[in-house]
Amino acid sequence: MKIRFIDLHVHSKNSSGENQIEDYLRVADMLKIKLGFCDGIKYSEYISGIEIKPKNIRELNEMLKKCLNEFDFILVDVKEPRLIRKCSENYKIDIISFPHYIDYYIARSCRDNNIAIEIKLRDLITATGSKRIKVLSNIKEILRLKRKYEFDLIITSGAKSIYELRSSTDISSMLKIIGFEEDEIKEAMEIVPKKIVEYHRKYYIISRGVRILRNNQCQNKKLYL
Amino acid sequence: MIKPKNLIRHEFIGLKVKVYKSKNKYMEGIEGIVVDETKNMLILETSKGEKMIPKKGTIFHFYLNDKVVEVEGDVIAFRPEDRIKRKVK
Repeated sequence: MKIRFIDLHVHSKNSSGENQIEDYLRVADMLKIKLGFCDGIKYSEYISGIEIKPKNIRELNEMLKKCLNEFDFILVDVKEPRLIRKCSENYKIDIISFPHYIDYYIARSCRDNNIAIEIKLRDLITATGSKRIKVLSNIKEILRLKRKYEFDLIITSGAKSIYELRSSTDISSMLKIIGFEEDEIKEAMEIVPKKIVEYHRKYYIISRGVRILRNNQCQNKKLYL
Repeated sequence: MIKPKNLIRHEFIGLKVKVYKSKNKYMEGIEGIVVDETKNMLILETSKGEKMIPKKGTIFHFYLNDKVVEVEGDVIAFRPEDRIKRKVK
């Protein structure tokens, strides 16, 4: 099965990455993948998103207020279980970054609010020893809950340099070893990221369940994918 | 004045609506003007007479001046007099 990987978690030099955007694009062309830059800067030519790391609920709400409708996707990186639960109830969030804690409540509310759970391969690649075992068991737990509650799953590289980018065949063969099936891999690598970006390019979100259709000019942007 | 922000707390009667998506495929594409509303139904006047559309499980397109606002039916599935009391998050 041919997969066109859309990697939505890449940091360039404009945030915490090591390389320029041009370098990333050059490597992405070689690997035949699409990149979404998570720099918190709105690029008109590329898929651009923002990664927010709130410390409490108040901070989370303030940040979401500022960046809603500005970017193609909003990714939230939180560690506390209480905050992960709150994030899973928030319709403004698109992706929760690789949670180290997940339970049935988070899985169910993610499905209801169309929030995707991210599996970041950087954590798996860089971890060593017992840490890697924890990451692997965490991925398996996410996969188990995904099959039961059917929430969206997304796979990203989390790359901070061009050497951390991977081609779709590399990632899919690695995921097959962990226990993913081919349909699940295709969905997580191509269909869900495309759905998230197209949703934000099509709609301007007002409140829960209410959104404005953007102009035709904006809708044509989806051709880029 | 009616705006996308206050649409779900506003009176629907007289607004132009289109059924964008529905659990019942035959209802998709119905277009008309709202003539009445109950807790679970929107009653539209179309070219083929009055049609009753259930709110739950349906996505509506409301045509305001120059904008098209998409509203999920589950958000507006209340009695019209109760809808204005609800807090919008």
